Amino acid sequence: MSDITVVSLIFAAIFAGIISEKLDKTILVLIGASIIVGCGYLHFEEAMHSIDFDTVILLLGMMLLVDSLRDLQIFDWVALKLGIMSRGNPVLIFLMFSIATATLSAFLDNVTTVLIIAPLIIQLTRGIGLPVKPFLFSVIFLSNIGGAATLIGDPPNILIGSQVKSLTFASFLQYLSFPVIVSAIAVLVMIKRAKRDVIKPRNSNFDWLFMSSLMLEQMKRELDELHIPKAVFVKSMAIFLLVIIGFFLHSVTHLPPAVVAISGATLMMLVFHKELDPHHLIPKIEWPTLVFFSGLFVVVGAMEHVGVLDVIAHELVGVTDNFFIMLMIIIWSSAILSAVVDNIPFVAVMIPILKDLINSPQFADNPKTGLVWWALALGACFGGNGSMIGASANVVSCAIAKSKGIDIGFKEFIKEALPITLASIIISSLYIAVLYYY
Amino acid sequence: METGALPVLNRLLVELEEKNGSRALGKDMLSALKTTIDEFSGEKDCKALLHQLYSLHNLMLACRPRMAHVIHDLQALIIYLIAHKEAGAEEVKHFIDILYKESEEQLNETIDNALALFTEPKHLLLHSHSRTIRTLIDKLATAKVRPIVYVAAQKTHKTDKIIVDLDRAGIEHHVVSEYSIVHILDKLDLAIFGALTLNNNEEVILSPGSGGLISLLQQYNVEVYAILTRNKFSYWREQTESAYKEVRQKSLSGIDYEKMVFSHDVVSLNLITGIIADEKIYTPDETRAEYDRRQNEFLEHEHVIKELEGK
Repeated sequence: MSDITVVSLIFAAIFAGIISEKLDKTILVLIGASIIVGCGYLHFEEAMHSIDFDTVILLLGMMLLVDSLRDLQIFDWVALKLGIMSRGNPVLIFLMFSIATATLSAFLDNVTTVLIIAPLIIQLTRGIGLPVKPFLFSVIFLSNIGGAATLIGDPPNILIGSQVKSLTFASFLQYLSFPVIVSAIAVLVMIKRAKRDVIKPRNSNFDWLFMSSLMLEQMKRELDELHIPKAVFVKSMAIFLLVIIGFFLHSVTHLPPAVVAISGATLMMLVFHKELDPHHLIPKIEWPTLVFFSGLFVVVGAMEHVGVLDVIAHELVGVTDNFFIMLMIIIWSSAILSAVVDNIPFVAVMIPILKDLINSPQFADNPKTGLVWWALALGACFGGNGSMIGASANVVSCAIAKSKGIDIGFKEFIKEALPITLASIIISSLYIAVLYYY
Repeated sequence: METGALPVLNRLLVELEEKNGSRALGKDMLSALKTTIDEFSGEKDCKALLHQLYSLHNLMLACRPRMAHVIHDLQALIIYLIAHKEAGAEEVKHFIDILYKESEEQLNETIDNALALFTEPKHLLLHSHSRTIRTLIDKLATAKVRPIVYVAAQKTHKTDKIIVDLDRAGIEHHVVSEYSIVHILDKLDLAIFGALTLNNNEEVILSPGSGGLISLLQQYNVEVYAILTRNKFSYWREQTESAYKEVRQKSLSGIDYEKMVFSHDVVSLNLITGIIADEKIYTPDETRAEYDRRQNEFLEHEHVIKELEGK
């Protein structure tokens, strides 16, 4: 068998293993990477070079930052404040938690966002006798949509932003915030219309209003008991803001996002060295995720090295010479695949393929080739909403719900998710079309 | 679809009482009533508000266990509206403020009565983590004679609060699992529990786990006190369930079973050395006398409310 066939089979086996969920995906990519290096398809030094440390360090820095803020109870404060501001009004609960989820997930990873929001929305809605699911679905969908807005919001964007050096934090926001906002509004309108018998004010019902008010008193009590000193709050938020500004100033400072993130995390640990114990904080990092990314880079590096990606790029170029159609193929195939499999390996493979594609003689002169990255990002991030296993945030949210006695079935998820995903992908396609033609 | 109001309210009351204690629940109920009146979009004249309060009162009555002090406050509000037919939302809110203030005063008086138990060094057992017990710890911090406290540890989230408060108050404390108290019984002089109510069967309703502990303490002649102001007595004559019950589906190594969970324990008044109330510390006999005296007044109020509600 040729090297191309063997490496392709290894990647296919990893992909199949991830879908089957028999083994953890980190173990699967480690097996794949070990075979690749062990069998000499990639030398050890080449394997090390293929690991994109920009991505790994950016992830590490953001994990440290987020865990620091979590340990300082800043997120508990935010969630409780939201609950109190909603005044127990189902419409406000729906809108405020959904918008907050989208905003938070633009700057935090989606799993962290749902870990902050999901338990409280379940406690709040259940406590005042509202059905939990419409509110929880909204949080799940908005976490995936909001995550698409920035370079750091979702792993596919982190991969794209780290590996395509011409893209900056500002350019992600410039190109992706519009479709994200429009899709978020569309999703909110769709859910509100579909669940109008639930998401409606209760001000005319004294008994229900009383229960909501009683629940709010409990939230006020929990907020009072948090005891976050003002200095801790101000300093931690200032550092987080500094990191975001650091991302924006890339064109001036030329500091890669990874450097900004890890510096911010270090500064956070320095300023709060009394509150944050590194021996407690650092083990909380999702090391399996970082190892998964590293192993994946080795597998993708081998595919590039032996020429698998050239073959795919060549085949892809042969599909059409119409670049707009190519953009639509990218966005829809990314969305469909992301709905059924983990979008990270897919995006990791697609990045070098698309680099080849836009440099091919057929498309090299096209001034709009940069749109492939937005098509890939929108398709991969929004497609994650398509099924229960489409994104980590979906899996985690459903697990939180289950632990609280709320079962969400696979079919039930798809029934709710399909119209939402279709709408957001159609909006994204229209947006890409407008960018392409105007 | 929205679930029925009664199970939601019942679960909410039980959860909040379990988290913060009954006195905190009473205060939260008064604050929540004010917010509800502010936010309510319907009519807010005396007649309309009375109609809404009747409905809420009936819901509260149907909850198990009955949160007596919460219902008493609601009844006081209804009686106030019956007597003040011109009263509107602002007057009602003002009356709620008065009830709130009374509740604060009762708490202070009750805590003062509890402090009188500590005129000499004593070894005290605490089990409840209610706001009242935590307020008592705050006051003991500045008392001339401080007890040595043993905390009967329950679930971490419950016990942690007391440990933090004791540490902050600078009171010497030791933590023992609630099921291992037998090993320190010879050290203990007294135990104080927070209580939800005293019912018509001369039973005190307390947090889960208190019942077994109190029986044990009685065997070893350790004095047992329950903090229970008189407005928390349940004067209803009919028999109702003394705890909220949930049946949870569980699974163990492929074996499916049902676990019954009860919100409260029930202890005979005879097992209690004294009821620490707002007026004084009552012996069981004095408690019975006080209960009987106030029960008639309560039944009159309830009769008035039922009659007018029917109209």
